[in-house]
Amino acid sequence: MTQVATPELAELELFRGVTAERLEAVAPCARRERHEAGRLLLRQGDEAASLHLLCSGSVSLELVVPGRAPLVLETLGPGELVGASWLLPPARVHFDVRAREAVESLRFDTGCLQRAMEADPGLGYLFCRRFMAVVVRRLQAARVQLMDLYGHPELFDPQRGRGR
Amino acid sequence: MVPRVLRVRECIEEMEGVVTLVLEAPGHFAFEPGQFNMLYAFGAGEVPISITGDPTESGVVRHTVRSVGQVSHALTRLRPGMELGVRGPFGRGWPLERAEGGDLVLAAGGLGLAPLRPVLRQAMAQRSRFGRVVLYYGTRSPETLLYREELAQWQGADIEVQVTVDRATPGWQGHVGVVTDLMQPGHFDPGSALALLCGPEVMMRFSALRLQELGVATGCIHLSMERNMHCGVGLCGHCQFGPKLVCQDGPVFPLEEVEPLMKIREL
Ligand SMILES: Cc1cc2nc3c(=O)[nH]c(=O)nc-3n(C[C@H](O)[C@H](O)[C@H](O)COP(=O)(O)OP(=O)(O)OC[C@H]3O[C@@H](n4cnc5c(N)ncnc54)[C@H](O)[C@@H]3O)c2cc1C
Repeated sequence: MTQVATPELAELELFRGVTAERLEAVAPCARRERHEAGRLLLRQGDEAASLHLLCSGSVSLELVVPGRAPLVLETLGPGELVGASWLLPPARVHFDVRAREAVESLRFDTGCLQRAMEADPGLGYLFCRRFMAVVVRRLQAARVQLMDLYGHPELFDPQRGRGR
Repeated sequence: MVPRVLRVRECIEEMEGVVTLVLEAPGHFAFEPGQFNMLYAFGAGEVPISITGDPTESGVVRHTVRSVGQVSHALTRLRPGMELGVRGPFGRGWPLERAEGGDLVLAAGGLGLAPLRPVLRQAMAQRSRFGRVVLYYGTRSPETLLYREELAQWQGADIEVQVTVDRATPGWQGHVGVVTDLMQPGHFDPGSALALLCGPEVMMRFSALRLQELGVATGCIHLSMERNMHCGVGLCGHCQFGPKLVCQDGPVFPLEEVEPLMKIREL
């Protein structure tokens, strides 16, 4: 686990355009971590004390059902954020997040992040928007996933129901 | 155009309700990747089905059919030795020559992999003609993966094969999520890439947006519009799509031509 320097943050898409001064406020909240394949980055039910920005490798979001093999809901790769539930109470982790291979991530202490965002509402607003963008994109993807596009192609036939 | 009568040599059950028909075609059945045939199931009717084999393969022609209605069901019930009528090949195929020297990006959804298979076979045989070749393939679940063994062969032939499923089953080690999630910066050079898309229209719309976001020029994105048709030769107007006829002007269209039409609610 190593500390992260401000210039490293500046290179990330999540922090694009953020001033050096603001990055200084956020950098102490971040640690670079490595996770071996199979290890949990976040555990379902735990307090949402960390947010991970994936730098390399990929993780699976798994729903734990007692007595059954975990159900993989989604896999996520570099550039993705995991642990978004920290923003809203009761701030619990909803799913297990497991490394599918060796993963490198930036782990943010969400308490520290929250203090920085509250101390500087401009920064808070900016981050809320960036997190929101991630959440909205994932919601859209989840909706498409739920449509079961490939299972029933006839339901998505544009000519259906037009008197053919 | 009168159908040729061809005999079924082999039926490969790809998954429940989806069969690949290997038809005996004496000589060489010449076609361009992306073209289709009109298959006539005697007593049931005729439907357009993409040609899915290797363009250089002699003696046979291959189609993968999903049973969705009367005719396609009859086709999936054919058995070796039985006959069917074939008219074709028809339509405009993929503009593969435009990918020469550049990267080739293929995005397939579900059965949309069928008309892209000839492209993959060609890319495999003539690998040096292209830069990076990437296949993004999204399907419903691990059981509905098409051409399983070939996916591994393509990967072994220096083609980057990325597969995702909407729903995982226990034991699935691959990606879970939508096909657009697979498309990441660095997989190909957006400046030189030619992108070929085939799948449900919703999937193609999102994929085109994502590829544009990654920097692929609109003019370099092509998609196969599988709107239904009857005659296959531009006479009946059944497959009219705005001012276009899918059977003659398509099924492969540049995104520029169909993008405005895809946004219209009633066509
Ligand atoms: C250029 C082209 C290439 C095609 N390639 C293939 C292929 O390789 N393999 C394959 O299985 N199918 C392919 N199709 C689709 C295939 O032609 C239709 O599934 C078939 O015509 C349905 O006929 P049917 O009599 O079995 O069913 P119908 O009774 O006509 O229809 C049954 C249901 O399927 C829906 N449907 C019909 N046509 C389509 C379509 N094009 N897309 C989505 N839903 C449809 C109808 O709305 C209806 O709900 C292709 C279509 C086109 C235009």
